[in-house]
Amino acid sequence: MRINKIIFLLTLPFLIELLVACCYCPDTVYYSYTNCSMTISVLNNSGPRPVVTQLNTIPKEAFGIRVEIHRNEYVCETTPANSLVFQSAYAMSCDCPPEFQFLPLDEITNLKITTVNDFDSEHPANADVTEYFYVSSGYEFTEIPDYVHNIQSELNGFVTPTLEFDLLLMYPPTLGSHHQFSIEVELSDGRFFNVETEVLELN
Amino acid sequence: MRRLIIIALILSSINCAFGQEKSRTYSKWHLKPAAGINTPITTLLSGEITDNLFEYDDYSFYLQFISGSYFFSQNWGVEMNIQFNFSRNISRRLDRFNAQIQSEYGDDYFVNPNSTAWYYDEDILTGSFPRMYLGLVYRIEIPKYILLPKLFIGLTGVYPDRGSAYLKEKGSHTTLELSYKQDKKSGDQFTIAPGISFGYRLSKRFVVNFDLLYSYFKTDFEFIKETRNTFTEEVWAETIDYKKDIHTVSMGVGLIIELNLEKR
Repeated sequence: MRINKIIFLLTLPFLIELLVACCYCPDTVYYSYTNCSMTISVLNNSGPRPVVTQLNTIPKEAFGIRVEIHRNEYVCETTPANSLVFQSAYAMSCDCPPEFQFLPLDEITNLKITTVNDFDSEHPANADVTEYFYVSSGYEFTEIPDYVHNIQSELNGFVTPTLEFDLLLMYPPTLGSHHQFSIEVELSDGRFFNVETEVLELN
Repeated sequence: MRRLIIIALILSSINCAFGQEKSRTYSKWHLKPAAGINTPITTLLSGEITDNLFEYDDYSFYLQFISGSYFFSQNWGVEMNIQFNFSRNISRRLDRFNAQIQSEYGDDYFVNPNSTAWYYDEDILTGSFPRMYLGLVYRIEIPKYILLPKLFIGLTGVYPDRGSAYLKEKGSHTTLELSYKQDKKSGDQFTIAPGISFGYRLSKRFVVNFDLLYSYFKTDFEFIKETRNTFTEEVWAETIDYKKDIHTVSMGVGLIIELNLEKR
């Protein structure tokens, strides 16, 4: 009888933790990240999907720009929740919040594209041509302001820290064949990323 | 003239055969498993892309597992048949749908390999469509031969599904979404089917038989093909009609199993 009591007392902590583990949500560990830099590539969308090209001559009906925003991780807070008895592995799903969450220190608030050369009769050199570019996701197109507004800034992982999207020129230029574009990204902390394409021949 | 002579000979031989002495017993119940082929006189499918969205084929072979007759008198009875009609084309229709999209649009567009059709019957490997008949049968019988003229009404399953394809124009950003949807009139088609079975008695209870059936149904439905420019959201719609009279001849062989023999 005494042996049974001893065994029961020894196993009691395990049983309690097992019960708790059945629906225990570990605290979310928060990290933060920041947008560090921007690079762009020229796209040729003549094929089945847009591909980066090193050529400076591109069909104007198939021209696009790939934008990559490079982001770095900053660790702000960690709350380890280790058990004395078990490793933190739970078999039950309790609709817990994500274990990790990455919050931005700065957000993209605006993206503007200007033409360096005359584009068409309504858009001379240095005019804003943002409305002529659309963000492409497969077979759907989104206006740039809508895309910027809906960028998912809170991330549950940081596996692909670079934000990448394709801007396709949906209304080709009607003036000249040599064109250059300037892409400007504005961040919520007041910083700007500004990159220009090379001079391209859009024919 | 030659045809008339042949018909006269056939009729006279049938007359001789059935002029013999009748059997002393008759069966109230017939079980009639059979198998055969369906050959169209007029076809429903005409080479359109949407043909590949039908769970139907003009040429098929049938298996008739569930079939039987009940004779409420020595000569008159009712018969019910349920046939499953198989065709290799039905099970390969998804591949043919994609191939035909590629063939029609491939010169100017890249066809997304995820273009597909949605089939209500997921089991496309065994692709089949059903037929169900119910009708009157008249029995003419002598000891070795049975002649069973019959008139059926029933349903033929012509079930169309949905399909879609994504296209990207070569050399530009233009992308199109094609979708094919059927209207609500499709599905089971009312069918009239007169036919005749010739049987040769193998034993007291077993008769081998040859079935000849003509069937007719009328289709009155259409597919709506929508082409959507995914950038401008412009939509072009066109209809593909399937308003046709479908005449089919079915020929098969089977076994009549006689149950519940009664004296005349």
